[in-house]
Amino acid sequence: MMSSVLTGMSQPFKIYFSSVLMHHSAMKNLIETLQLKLSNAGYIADKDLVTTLVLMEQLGRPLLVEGEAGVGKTEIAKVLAKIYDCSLIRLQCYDGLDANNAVYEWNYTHQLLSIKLLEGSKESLDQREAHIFNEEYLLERPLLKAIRQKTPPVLLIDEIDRTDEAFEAFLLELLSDFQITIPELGTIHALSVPRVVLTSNGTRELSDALRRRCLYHYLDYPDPEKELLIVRSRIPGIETNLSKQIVSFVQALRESELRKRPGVAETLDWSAALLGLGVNDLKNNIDIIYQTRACLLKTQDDMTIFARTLINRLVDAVL
Amino acid sequence: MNIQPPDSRLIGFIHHLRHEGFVIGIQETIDSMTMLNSSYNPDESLSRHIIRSLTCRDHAEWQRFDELFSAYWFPYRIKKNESSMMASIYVRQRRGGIAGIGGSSKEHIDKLMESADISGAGAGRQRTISKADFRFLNDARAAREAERQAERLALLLRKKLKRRRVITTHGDKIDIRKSLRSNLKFGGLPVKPAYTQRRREPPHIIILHDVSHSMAWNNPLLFRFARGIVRAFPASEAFAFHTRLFCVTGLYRERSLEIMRSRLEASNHLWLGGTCIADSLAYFNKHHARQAVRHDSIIMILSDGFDTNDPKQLGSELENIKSRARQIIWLNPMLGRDGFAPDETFMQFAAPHIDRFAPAHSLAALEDAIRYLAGYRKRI
Repeated sequence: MMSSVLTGMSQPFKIYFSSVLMHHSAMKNLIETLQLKLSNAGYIADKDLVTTLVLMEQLGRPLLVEGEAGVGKTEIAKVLAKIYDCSLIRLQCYDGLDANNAVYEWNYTHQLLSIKLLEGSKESLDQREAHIFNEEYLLERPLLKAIRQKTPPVLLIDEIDRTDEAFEAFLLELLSDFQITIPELGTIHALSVPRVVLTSNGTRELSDALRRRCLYHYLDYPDPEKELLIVRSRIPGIETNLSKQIVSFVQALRESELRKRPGVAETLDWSAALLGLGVNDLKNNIDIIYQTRACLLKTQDDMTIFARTLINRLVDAVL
Repeated sequence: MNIQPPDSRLIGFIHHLRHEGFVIGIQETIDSMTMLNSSYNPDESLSRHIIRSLTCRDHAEWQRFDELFSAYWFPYRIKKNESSMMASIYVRQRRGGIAGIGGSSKEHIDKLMESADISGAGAGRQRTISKADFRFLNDARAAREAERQAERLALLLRKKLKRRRVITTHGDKIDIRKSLRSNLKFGGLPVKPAYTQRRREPPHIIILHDVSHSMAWNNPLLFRFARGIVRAFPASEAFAFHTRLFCVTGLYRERSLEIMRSRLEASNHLWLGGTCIADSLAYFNKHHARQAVRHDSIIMILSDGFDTNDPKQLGSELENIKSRARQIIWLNPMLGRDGFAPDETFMQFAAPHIDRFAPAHSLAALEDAIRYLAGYRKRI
């Protein structure tokens, strides 16, 4: 194919376009290989997400993934750790998270004990201080742990939107230079650059500075074909007909006026529940759908909306 | 035939994205060129995915990217009807299904002349948008940016008043790390312990949002502002009113702007009626106040004050609310505009019960309100 494209070109153009096509071909190979690996690891990813993951690997930049809850944002980090055969270090963010819980902490009890033991010694105050503020007394928290790994780990900073802007600002140094400054010890540079995945549910606006340092990907609810593949891949024993019905029903349910729409995780939970109950056809099992609604719906309001009449309507419409 | 080199076209596209409001730095441009091998990449979808990952920063940009990419690289693919459809979607998004932004063309041109740097990038643009009267932001992009900023402002209040612990010389919990550092000179004995104390409690805000016809021009901005407050403070409540009053907390708290807009559009009865402020407040006092209002609540009324009810009745209802709540703040979008003076009878009957009567016609005015709320919490 390449030769037919190059036919009739002058020599300099041939060389130029050959390099372009080779680069293009290499990139496509990388994407296809990664997509296959992800699929083998149980994660069905679209080409655009795989392209972003290849970019993340090649450019060494963090990836910021946004999307509704339950669409598989956190799973990206888990599956990356699996396919790269490295450790997954997770920092779960929450309101009030600070550097002491995310980066490092001093082992106070050991430090106090050490001070007591040094009371009788002739060491000066400076020497005592230097003694108690060394690595022996340093407790690693996820961020510090991530940059001190010899093999690049996958660092998952989950639900970054739950932290405040001060912590976001603190992260900037790590995400741009992969280094952390500890006042008592100095700057610690990364032994290896971790693959960083940040997730956000969009509960608040993240700073432009943080966004600028990351590649961005928005993970939407999967289309029916993709969701069907996910269900079959994750629940191998499920019958084709049932899996199709489940996916059609959930896709239709997402179009309803719900406070919290079911994500992929809910689809999988529901599929497993129906399989466990021995259901092989949704059409004649309206009661079972109603009884297992807890797998799909997560708020009292949605439970109220999800009456038998709505189930009947959805079943009639999609099955 | 004049064919531009591929690099120039890519840079041209980056410029095009910047012009559309994308914030793209030099590094992203270099990365895009590197990943596309600084040349034309024959695979359209691959190029699309690469540039999108590198240049988009949020969901809104992500959604718009495909349209911009196609329009720039494949203009011949966009049919006339598609183009007009896009324009209508653009306008619909801009109007948010709530209200249109009008203004005479002369006024529009005058204001655009005044704020000529709206379409430019950087701090100048931000400043202009923040000061511009929202009624005159007829440029869709600038108006959208203003709406986004309004919501962000409201969310900032949460940051200012977070329930984080701060180190103090007295408090309810000892901070071991700080105590150890500051008591090294005493051999590690906690002679002068350092404490942490909880910051101020988040405010309990109740928003009463006038969505009558006279507020149509201001509502997109105020609506995003109100949405930001409701999302920032989980205990907050929001009510919309024109001739009737409705609880809209659930709608405003919806995370997805698109879903919320479609739900708002579906609730047509909520918007653009006449105005009966006093009746609406009476309904609020009778049916919602007992449950919603706390002794420390701040009632924030977003309204231009144009009322068909008796001003005496309005005064009486406000007095009723004031007896239950701590403060009433009335933000009036007409107040910042030249030539507007509140009605005398309104001032006579309503003003005595209002703790702060302030403008809300621009982002700067809303920022003042946020600053006031943050400062107010310090004092209590």
